[in-house]
Amino acid sequence: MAEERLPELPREFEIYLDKPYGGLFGDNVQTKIIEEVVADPYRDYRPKYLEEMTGAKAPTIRNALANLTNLGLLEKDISDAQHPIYRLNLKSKKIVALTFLSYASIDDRDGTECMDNAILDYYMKVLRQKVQPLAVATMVQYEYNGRIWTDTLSAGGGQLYEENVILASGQA
Amino acid sequence: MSDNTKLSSRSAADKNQTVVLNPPDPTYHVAKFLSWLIKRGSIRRLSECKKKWEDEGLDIERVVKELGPRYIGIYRHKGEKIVKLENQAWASQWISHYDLEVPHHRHKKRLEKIFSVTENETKV
Repeated sequence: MAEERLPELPREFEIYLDKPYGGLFGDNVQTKIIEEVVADPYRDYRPKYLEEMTGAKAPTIRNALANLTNLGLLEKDISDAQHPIYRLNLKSKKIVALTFLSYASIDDRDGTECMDNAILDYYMKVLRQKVQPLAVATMVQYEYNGRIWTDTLSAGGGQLYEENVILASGQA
Repeated sequence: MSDNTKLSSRSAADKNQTVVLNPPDPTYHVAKFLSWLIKRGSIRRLSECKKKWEDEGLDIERVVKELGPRYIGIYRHKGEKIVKLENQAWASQWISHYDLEVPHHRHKKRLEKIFSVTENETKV
């Protein structure tokens, strides 16, 4: 069968194939594991799987996993002591920050806005719940012959509607 | 409603939000793959994609073919096939819709509930 004709990968993308975060932290196994687990955060990871995904040897993977567990990025489940499972510690703020970093890497390369979208998404889904609005209000201000009228329609504080008439300075 | 947009009255995470999403809807499972791909620099070797995602029932070559080169493409580099996400803005909105953009504990809990319901249904 004839070889499929495919376009060549543009040169500037090459570094992203082999080096995590486009080479920002060099090219070591620990960073490769970080990039992989941050990109697929809900999976259960076994050392063997990470050996296959990174191409690194078992002792190197073991050391990196121990280090990342000590740093609080991973949690080790030893229900089966012979076959430990590692999971991402989703309570770690570092995971959120590293997720933003992964988006930032491609934004800088491609001129996209993935990180901004992710921050907005994080705000809408996580942070917004922590911010209790005390009041919701709309305000319209009018000026006529030096006098200023301010109409405020507000919900909250027990008052649904209020209208103020304020005199501009020097008119009182 | 325009031809190239669809109105969703409810996103996966916030039932009160109204979000305009550009089709095609890649589905939840493909969005998981896209989320991984975008966070891995939006390019990966096809062999790596297959190794990782075919265990989860995704035929990556088929996914790429069905979505088409406007969204995701295959390139060649040093004799290897490379998968490259072409439309990050489109992918990003669906990743967000399926609540896969930024990992958080609540999403994991929701997945556990989905799994346990599925398990209960199969335990007949």
